[in-house]
Amino acid sequence: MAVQAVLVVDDSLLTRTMVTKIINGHYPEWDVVQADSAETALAIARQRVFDFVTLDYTMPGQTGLDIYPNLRALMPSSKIALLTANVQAHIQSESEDQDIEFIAKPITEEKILQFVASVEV
Amino acid sequence: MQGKLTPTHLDAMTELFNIGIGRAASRMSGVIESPFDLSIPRLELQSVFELRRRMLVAQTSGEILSQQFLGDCGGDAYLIINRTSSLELIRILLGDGFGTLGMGDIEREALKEITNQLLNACLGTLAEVLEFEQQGCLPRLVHSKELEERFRQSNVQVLLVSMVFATDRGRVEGQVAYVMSAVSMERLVGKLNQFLRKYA
Repeated sequence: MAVQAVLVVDDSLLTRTMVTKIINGHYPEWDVVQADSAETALAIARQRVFDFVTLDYTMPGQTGLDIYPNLRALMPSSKIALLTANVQAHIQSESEDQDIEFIAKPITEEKILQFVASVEV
Repeated sequence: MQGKLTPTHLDAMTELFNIGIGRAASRMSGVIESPFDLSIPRLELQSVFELRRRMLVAQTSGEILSQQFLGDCGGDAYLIINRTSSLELIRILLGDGFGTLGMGDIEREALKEITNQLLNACLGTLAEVLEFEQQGCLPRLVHSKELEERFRQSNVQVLLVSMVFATDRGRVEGQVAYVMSAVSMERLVGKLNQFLRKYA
């Protein structure tokens, strides 16, 4: 699998660290970049394109779904997943409507690897 | 010092409580068929004195519900919510006909059920992710004399989690306190360290 770039957007240091560790544990050469807020994620996404993005829902300021249209416009071909503790039906439904993969926390290695493997060629 | 929570531990615990609150909100939003807006929970270590103060303030005008959790990291969990928020929560969940005359038997039972769901979701998530056995007892109302007795023990440690639930029907602020012995806290820190070594 070619080297990929991943953007991990979450206000939780634990989540960012876990996702990074899981991905780099299996793909050490992949470039995993962390953003601790929606605003930082947008600023980073304006500078470069990522192959995968994991997006938290509840963050200070804007939610993950708030910034999703902007992220999608900047990265039309990227694989984006909402990675969230907020597992209410309306969030899942909104994710489906916007065609974002929904991954419920807690994070497991299986969930993350399944997500990044989903476009494996 | 063994058993001391660091900022990294607190960040991890905040995320785990966040997951628990998300699970509880999902169940409750299914009941009311309306979404909850959730705040990011705020977690802090508090003194027993401060917890006692907050509980007694809440109890003068509301209800304190407690649920005991047995196991390696066992302790007593409390839902601290003032009377206005209690009744608001009951109205949100049961409808406008409830809670208008104050806290009757039906309202108390509803509050116990909410407590059961919320505390089990939060502490169940901790146990599931950190991989320890835990068993929740039934929730019950606690009176001030019992609180005085409980907090006379000097070696208890307190985790306090503040949260806000909002719907188009109202807004509720509350806190979950988890009161543990020093031994339970030390075991919890050990579990957190194991988890962080493995994943972070």
